[in-house]
Amino acid sequence: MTSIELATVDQIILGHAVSFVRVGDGGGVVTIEGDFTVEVDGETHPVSPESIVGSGAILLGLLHQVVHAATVGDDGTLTLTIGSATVTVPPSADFEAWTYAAEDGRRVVCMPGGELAVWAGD
Amino acid sequence: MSRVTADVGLLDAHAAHVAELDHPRRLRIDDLRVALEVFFASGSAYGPRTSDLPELLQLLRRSTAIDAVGVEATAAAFAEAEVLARAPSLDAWHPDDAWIERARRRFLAANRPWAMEAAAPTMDPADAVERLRTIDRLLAEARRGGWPSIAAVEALVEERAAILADGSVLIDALTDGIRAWSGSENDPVLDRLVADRQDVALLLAAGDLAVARRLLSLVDAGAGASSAFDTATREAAHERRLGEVMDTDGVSRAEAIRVIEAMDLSIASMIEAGLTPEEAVVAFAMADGLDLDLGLARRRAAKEGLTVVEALARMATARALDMTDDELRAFDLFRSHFAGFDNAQGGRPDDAVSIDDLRFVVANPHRFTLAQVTAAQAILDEPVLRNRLDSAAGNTDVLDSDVFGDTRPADHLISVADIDAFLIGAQLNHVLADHRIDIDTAAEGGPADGFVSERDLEAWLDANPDAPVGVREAVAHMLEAQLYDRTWLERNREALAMGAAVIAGGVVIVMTAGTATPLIVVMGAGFAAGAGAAGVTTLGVNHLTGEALTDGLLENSLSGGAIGMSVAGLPASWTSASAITQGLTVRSGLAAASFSGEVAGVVSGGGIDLVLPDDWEDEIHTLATGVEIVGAFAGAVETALDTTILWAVEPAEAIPNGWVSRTADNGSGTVWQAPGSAGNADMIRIMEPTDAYPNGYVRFHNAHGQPVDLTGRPGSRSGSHIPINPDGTFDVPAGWPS
Repeated sequence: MTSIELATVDQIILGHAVSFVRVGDGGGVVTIEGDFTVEVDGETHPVSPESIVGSGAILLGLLHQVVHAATVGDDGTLTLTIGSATVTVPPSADFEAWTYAAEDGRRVVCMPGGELAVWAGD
Repeated sequence: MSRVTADVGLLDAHAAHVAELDHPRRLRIDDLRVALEVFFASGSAYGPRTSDLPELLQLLRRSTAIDAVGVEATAAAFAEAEVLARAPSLDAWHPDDAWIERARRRFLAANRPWAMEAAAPTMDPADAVERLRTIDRLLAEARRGGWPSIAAVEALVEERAAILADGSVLIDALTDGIRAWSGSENDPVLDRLVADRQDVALLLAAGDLAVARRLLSLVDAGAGASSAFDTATREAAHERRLGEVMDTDGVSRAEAIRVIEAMDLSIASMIEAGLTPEEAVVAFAMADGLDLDLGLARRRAAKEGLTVVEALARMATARALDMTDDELRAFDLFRSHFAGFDNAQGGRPDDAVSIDDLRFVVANPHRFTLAQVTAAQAILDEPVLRNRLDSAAGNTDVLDSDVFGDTRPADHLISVADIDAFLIGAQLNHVLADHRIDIDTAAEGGPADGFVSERDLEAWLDANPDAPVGVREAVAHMLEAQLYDRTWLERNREALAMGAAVIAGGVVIVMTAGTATPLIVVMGAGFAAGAGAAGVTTLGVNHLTGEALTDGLLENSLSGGAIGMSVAGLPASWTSASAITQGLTVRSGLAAASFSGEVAGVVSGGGIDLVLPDDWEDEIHTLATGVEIVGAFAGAVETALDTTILWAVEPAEAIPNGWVSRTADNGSGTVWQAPGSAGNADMIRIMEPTDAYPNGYVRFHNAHGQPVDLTGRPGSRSGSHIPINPDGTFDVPAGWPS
């Protein structure tokens, strides 16, 4: 099983997806295309990458924060602990909910329905 | 050219003359004309020898006076060149009508594109395709301001439609040509046939690449183009509807299918019951968008002799004004007979009707019409409504309770000001119903006390910048305090009317069908009855400002495209142009005004005068609508045609040379990536089947690592997950390297 290494969020890219860049030491990128939540101080904020207006502030709060933990549940749910926030990305029935790609070739894709496709790297 | 009938004597004489044409520069124009006429008048039995023709053609090409001969003669010369080029081995020249006609069209298209008449149905497929391209270029120029004249643009629009009406025939003909091809596969002629067929498919599909691809895929599988087009269009429409429902409601594909099936069943049952498809769709949209009971509306329509849409409009209006059905009926009757009641007992009109006036009408039926007596009795039978009305002008407690209007008797006098105040107060109450407590406590918190202060309103506006525009407008209106400040209302009537329409419901619906097709549906019957919430507001505002009562309603509706009601997943068929124009109660002046942007384009192009004569407005409306549709359509096609499009390909064809593949450890997918690229940059990922993609799917990522859709640009999730076809092929984004 590939692992998502821990580092800091150096860059956040917003478009049709939300990407956390340099999540791992290998310069990995977590790209989230599905709806997800960010829990901060006990309050849960829903975020829809395709309708990001209104979520900018909560996402910016994750910038330069340390990624303390990254786990993937049996159903494909990705949970990132970034700073004091918890980012939870459930799988999507129709689209890829999230992907992780490291510069060394490691790659994880949460396929539609939640199955994971895994490239362990070179 | 008017082709003369061949005359043997004439022919002989001029055939001899042609043979003597060895001094072309001294040729007179008349000689040239006669010579050409002879050529074209010639039947095969009398035709000049092929060997004679090069001389004449050389002559034509060198003649500096060719323009003076006229367009048709020149075109005919081109036609001859075609014939000669194709039949050098023939000893005698056989005039070919089709070739002549084609050459003539080519000349006109090149030199006088606006003078082309509609294409003949039997037009050669290649010429038809070329003509379509020309028309689209001309329409694009027209939209950029190069309007020659309204008539010319109309003619182009009609011609385009006429050619595309035979689009399936063109595709079939081109397909036959491709299938029958026996030459080299690298022959440019074959390439041209394939490209022409793709272009026609794309044009027929209104620039929708997916539809065009599917169409040709079905044709290649043996289907006729006509049925293939129907199938491709239907499938695409279904996919769009599913996508809309999935995006809007956030549901799975399976759930979206169930939603659409239920929607279609409801609409189909209304059509089965006798509604037109447009009425059924609009009725469904109203019921769904305004949360009205469609079954109840249908029962009321049957019982009261209304259309379903009218019944829905009445239900929405009654709800917006907090009235019962009987109250709404009485209110409408009262308003329509107000002038007759005003001085029922004699004297000068004073814009007010008293209870005594109404009783006088009922007590003296012989002095009034039956309709007036019925109307008077109806409002007398509704004391609660009367009381809400007669105190409305002085009632500023808009948010005091769930229902606007004091139900206790006041002065028993209902004035025009009362009615106006009531209409606005009731709608503000309705629009703000869900926010009443929030507004009441916005400034200082604590329990609601029924008293809304200026600070409450200001605090609420500050705290709710993202509230619906209609709600914010309503609160802003209250904040300005002068609740019935005529100036303020006049300045803000569009926003208020649209806000009320959207939120409170009514007879005006502005919908967006899909992401690219703004659609406006105005319910004519409901508007005529003046029953809708938006109509009510506008009527009231207009009355206050002294304008004609109906001015503004349609302008508000038609120009307010940014605000609307979207019902995801409605059938796509109603997005046609006919759906826009059918059933509208549109005054031509308003219609023209609503398309002012297009009209401005016409004007700026010098097509018409800035000041529009009344009798031109309908024409402009038609034209502007047509150009809007066709122009946008042409623009999409133009963009598509200007882009390198790869059609459905085998996986190997989509992978650029030298890209490196890696299959997932668990076999769920394979990545191809440009050498040296990292992360998601320059990558294709082909994934194994899932429940949502039974044949698998493909993701294309650009140099920046962004997933792209079939346009080649970063796209939405639905656009950038590209399904694999059952035969293993898949579509490739425009501009993708191969």
